[in-house]
Amino acid sequence: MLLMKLNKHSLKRNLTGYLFITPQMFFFFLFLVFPIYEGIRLSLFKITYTSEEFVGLANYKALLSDPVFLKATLNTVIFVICIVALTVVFALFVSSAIFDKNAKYVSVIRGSYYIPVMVSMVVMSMIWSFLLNPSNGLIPFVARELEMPVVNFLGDKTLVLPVVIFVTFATNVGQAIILYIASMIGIPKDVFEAAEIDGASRRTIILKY
Amino acid sequence: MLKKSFFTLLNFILIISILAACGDKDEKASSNSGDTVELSLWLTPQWKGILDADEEGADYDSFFKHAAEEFAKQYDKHDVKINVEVIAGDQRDEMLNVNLNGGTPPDIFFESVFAMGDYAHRGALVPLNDIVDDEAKSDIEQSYWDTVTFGDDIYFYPFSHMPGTLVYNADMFKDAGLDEFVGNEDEIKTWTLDELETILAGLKENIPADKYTNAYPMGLFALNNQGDTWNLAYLRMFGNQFFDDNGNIVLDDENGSKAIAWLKEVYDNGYANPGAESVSSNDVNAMFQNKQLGVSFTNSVLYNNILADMESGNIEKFDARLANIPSVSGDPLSFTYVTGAAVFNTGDETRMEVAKDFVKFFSTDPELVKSSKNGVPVRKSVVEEFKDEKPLFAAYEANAPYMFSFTGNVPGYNELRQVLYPELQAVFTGEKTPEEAVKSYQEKGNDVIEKAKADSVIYQ
Repeated sequence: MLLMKLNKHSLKRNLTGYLFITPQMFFFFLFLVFPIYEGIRLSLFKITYTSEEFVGLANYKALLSDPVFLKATLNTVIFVICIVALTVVFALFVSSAIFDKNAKYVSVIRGSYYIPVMVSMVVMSMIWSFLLNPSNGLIPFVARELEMPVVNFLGDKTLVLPVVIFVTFATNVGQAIILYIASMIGIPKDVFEAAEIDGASRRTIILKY
Repeated sequence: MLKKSFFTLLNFILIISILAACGDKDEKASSNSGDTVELSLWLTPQWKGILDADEEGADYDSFFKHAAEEFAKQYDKHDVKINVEVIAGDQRDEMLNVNLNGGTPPDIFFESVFAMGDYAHRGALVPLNDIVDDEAKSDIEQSYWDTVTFGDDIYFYPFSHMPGTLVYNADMFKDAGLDEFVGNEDEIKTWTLDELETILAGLKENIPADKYTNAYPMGLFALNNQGDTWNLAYLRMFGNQFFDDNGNIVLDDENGSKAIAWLKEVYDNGYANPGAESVSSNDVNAMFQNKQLGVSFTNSVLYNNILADMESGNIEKFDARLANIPSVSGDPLSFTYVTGAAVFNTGDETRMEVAKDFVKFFSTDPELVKSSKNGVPVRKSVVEEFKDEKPLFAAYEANAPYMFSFTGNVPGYNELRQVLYPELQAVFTGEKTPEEAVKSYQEKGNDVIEKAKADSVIYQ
């Protein structure tokens, strides 16, 4: 009884607040919660144009027993791990190598790594597929003309994942470089000066500070 | 204070419900009100203009807008208003699925039949048997009716078609000393399989390297499902029927694996472009246009585009001519993409009746069917009328008896397409033998068909 009274009291006191968040909540439920709920509900049904039949977890079972799905998931995991590792390592390397150089020099390097980020992914894919296409791509063509051994970068089972990883990495690494350089330039000069006076080498400065 | 807040809340709910109601109202306005029947017709881009693309204001919807006006003028059962909407090809399935689930499918859809067959199996289309008369049956060859018949019923009214063939660079043939295999300009040359092999070997040896850089005898591709119809045709080269009478794949026999072995041999001998497993049909078509291939695939629209591009100077001019896909029996292997209208099951009897009447009107009216010359007409009468203007029509018509239905009109065809190219890739990369590939394709393919059959209204 006391609890109810308390609730009633607090409801009354907070009603204006609730009213303020009502529009947001309404759209939140309509466009986010409801679709998620519907998505989960529909995943338990087998739906055709004429009927809707409850099948429990059969759809999930079918998905998990599909070798292509499992392979794709595994490839995605490998892809993500490699991309993140490569990007972090390479971007840190580039940024630490150039951050304290002449501002114009930094701009040129930063710009050349950032250009591929600005170009749309579609255009980049087209450019790379033009370069790598085994039949009429530039790289295999040059290799054939120079009578070097020709490999199919997009068709060889062992090569294709590394190639895709490299292409994505090359397209996106500029973003990380920009961020790292920005944060490195942001470090106050006196910290570096102090380190130099202490006799720290460049490697120590980059690794320890 | 509480009262005031309560009323504010009430007002808010009221406003929201009015807004929601407005949405509902808009939706209902598209159905028929009173005596006017309002239909929606969707199509993917087919041809511009009513009869020709050089008419003023010619666009993809011109023909159907014109047909709708003509239909409304002469139709006496109802007042009719037809809204024509052009849908991008790659949005077709998304738009249709959303609208089917929302209960608002279009009344009529005009599109290539092979892309729409699954909707017939899903029960979303209504049969059109009652609007097809004997006159139409005699004017349109039986093989076209076969491609639009699912089970016992006709689901699409054939309008025009787009035959697939091979195309070859006659200049390159002559430069390689293969003059005897070059056909006439208005002919679709039929080679035997042995002749094709001779041609490929001859091209490999004798393509003059100074004139054609990076050139190969034939284009092969297996990157994805684009252009897979030609690959399906190659699989029938040694006489395999592909589908049995129950709509199951029967590729796993001697003739099936021979066909794949043939492709592999062509590839291994260096008669085809390298890396076929990761080359798309688009790449192959581009290579042919760049004079890097002797023999490639084409259909009537692609072929016309190549000729038009040469005319406008977009690509260098050369002599591109047509040939049939050969088979070991000597008969050509011929297939076509039939385009026509389907009527959706909207649940509204009046609208479905008017929609059928409209489909019949523009698919049979002697003036309107002339527009099918923008593709290749399915009607003999139209072919006859335009045969002087378009001499290839007669050649395409002559192929009709050799036509096979590449989809077999089986349910789940769209999913089935995803099964073929990985097997071809496995063969090209040497991961599987031809025997293993046909076996695995048949197993996986029949699995897809089996599942789709369970959901198909036609197989129930």
